[in-house]
Amino acid sequence: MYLIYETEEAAIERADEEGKYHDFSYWTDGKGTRWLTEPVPTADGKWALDVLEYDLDDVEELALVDSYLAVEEEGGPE
Amino acid sequence: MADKTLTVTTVGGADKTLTFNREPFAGVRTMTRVEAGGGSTDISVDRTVSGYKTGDKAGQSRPLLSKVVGGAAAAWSLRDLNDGQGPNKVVRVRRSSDNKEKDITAKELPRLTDWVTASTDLPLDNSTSLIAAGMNPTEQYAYFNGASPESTVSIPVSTVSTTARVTFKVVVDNHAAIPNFGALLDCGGKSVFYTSAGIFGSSSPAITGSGSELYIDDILCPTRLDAYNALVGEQVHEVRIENFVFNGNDLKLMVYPSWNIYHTAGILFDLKIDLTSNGTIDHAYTGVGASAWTDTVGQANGVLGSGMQTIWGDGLAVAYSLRNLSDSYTGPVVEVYRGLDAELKSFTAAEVADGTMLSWVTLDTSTGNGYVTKLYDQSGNSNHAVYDANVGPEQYIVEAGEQVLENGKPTIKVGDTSHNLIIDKPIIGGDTSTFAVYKTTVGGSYIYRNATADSLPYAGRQGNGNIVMSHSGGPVYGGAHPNQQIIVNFQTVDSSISINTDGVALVEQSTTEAGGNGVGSIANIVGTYSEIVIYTSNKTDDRNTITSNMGDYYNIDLPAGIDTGNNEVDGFVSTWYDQSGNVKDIAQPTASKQPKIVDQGNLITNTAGQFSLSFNKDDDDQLTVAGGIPLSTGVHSFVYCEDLAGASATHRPLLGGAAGRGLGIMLNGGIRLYHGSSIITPLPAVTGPKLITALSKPVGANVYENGTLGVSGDVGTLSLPYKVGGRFGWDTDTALDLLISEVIIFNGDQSANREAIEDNINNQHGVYTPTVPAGLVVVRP
Repeated sequence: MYLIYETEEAAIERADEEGKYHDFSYWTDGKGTRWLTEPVPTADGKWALDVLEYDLDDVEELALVDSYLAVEEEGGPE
Repeated sequence: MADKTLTVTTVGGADKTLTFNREPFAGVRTMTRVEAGGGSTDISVDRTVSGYKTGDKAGQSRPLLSKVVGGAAAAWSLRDLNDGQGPNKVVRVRRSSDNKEKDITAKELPRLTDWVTASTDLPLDNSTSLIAAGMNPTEQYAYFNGASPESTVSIPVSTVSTTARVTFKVVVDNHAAIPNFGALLDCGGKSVFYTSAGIFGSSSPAITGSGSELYIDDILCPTRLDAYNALVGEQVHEVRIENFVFNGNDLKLMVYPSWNIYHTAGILFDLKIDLTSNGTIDHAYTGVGASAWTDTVGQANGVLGSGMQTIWGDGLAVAYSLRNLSDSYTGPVVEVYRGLDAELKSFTAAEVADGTMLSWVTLDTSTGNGYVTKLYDQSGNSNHAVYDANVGPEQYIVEAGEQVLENGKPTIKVGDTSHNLIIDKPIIGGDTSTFAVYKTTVGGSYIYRNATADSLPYAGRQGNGNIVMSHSGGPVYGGAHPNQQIIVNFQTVDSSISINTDGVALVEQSTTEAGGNGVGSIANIVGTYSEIVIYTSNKTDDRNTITSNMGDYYNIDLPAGIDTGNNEVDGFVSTWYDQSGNVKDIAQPTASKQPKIVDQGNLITNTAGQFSLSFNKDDDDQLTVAGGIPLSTGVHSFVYCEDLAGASATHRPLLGGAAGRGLGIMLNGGIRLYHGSSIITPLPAVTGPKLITALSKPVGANVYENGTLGVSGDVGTLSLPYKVGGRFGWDTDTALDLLISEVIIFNGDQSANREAIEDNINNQHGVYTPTVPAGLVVVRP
């Protein structure tokens, strides 16, 4: 389950919020784990955040999507 | 370790003294022979040579970088690659039970599971204090026992002669209860005082800010900084000192004694030091009731004197147990009525556990009953639970001459719901979180239930066999109530009720009936109960910690990730430290993509028994380094790894660069080096753990497998390697489970040293049978 954000900053803000909720080391010690999941770019220029294990509010529950179109990376062996 | 000398007297000759270097991890050992006529001769034994194998997992018998070939661009290993005798940190590990992290050295690694599976690192460093465990880890409290002298934490930053920013935050809970409290932040006699009457400094300061936030331009301030006077309830005050100059002095935080402080007040110290005022915290100390403060950012440790003790968690209403729920609690836990002669006596947790109580109840016979007449409230709120005088005491702690036990621990047995205990005032209102350890197979058994017509609020096992909670309206059910001893958390927060048993969520449901007032009775059950702790606050964040603590003590099996006592906790690597000296640590800030190092309480090893990191393909586990590893005309990589069978993989990335460039293992076992063009080792490939050596250069690249040339050729334009594990982006189904123990990257062609490096890695891990040079005597322990 994913939430789609228009900007990377907005997605990071939500990931940060969840990271703080989990008391990850980055938020208590200034280093180490910061996020539970991290935002990834989508093919349409937005940002997707895997929130399957997040504690979501009602608004977020309504905005959930099952999938997103991933950016294809170029290159690789023949 | 001191050297040893041996004097040898030869017949007809002069004495000779041999001195043995007993350094246990030295790469090269020496013996010195002192000649009788003067002078000496050194005899060296080089333990780094090929053919020597000790199984020393710390790796100090053959520190690769310091004793064989130095100058690596990056080096990640679970052993110490330098001559540090194992103290160098190799990984930073996050444990799943509470997400705490810790840097681990090579020497500590074999015992890593001790920390990963230990009882969760309680905020007050108190392995037995449940109440401490229930506190929010970010809100740690400590208070000073007036019986002890002042406590001091010395922060060894005096060598830093720069301008710093020091933030000193104090959280005081019920300040009025600590009238003579004082804390002193001192640096070379120039100080800031934080007292019950306000903040004081030792000379005129420039003060900005107001209320609870004051900014002091320097620490030379004797004037009272009058921030507050009336302090009732929790207060948060923060002093930020700008332009802090250490002037060669250590910074000290001293805590002054106060009097008669028991269970009603708490103080949090949160001290942060930004040495260069650049916004990055260089040292961070949080004051807790522990014997030492650990700098959670820098590496230095401060020492806190004795006297700091724990106090209760926030929002605690009642706490009943036959064990002590805090190390600072020394009072009685239970009052017992002796059936043989109607005597009453109170007992401490130790007396309950060591047989003293049993002996008293039975009069040293094998008969007699002991009934609970009072459970002492350990919360400090004096909400003791007492028996109902109308029905008499009939909650057994000793029955027929034997102590009542559940799973080997003292417990209380109740045979009739009419013999509950009573609290003489309401203890619940608004948010409530109750943790209890109990067992019942009988409906109509409740951990608490009000003595009103509608019984509200109540929580426990309803007559229909379901686990239930109801506070001011219709009940919320969590399915069939278990029949075995359980740890339960009943919680109502923000108009929502949730029920968890043994760390597993049974139900969370919005309701209009959250809240509710008053609890008149507890342990209204038929069965046994050992512990009841009720908070009038939201304990969602602490649920696992509290549950873990109870499960640990009562030997109740809990799910992986929560269970500590049953060693089912996982450990993940957030940082694999670079040992090359180039600070090319590879890290993974996202929990879901971190490789695992401890799996359900066991250190992960490959099939050869060597410590390894496990990179899971489905999770896209990977570690990356910012900026990549620098390269010039070539990159020589040495990777000790094992690929686990995958169903559909075509490549298994070991070292990844941009656009899919890198080194990987193919499904058929071939090793592919690709930088626009590929070279692939022929089949059959070596199965199991292997040492892969790859020379990446546009022309004349090659790949060795276990010291044998597999393939050579041209691979195209190089790209910076920047990750270990993960996927090649162009084929998302190509990653698979990998075990990686060591990765060493040299910037440039190391063909001249390849054999020496491979021998060292091979000797360390026993990858393959080494080739022993002719004439070398191989010593095997």
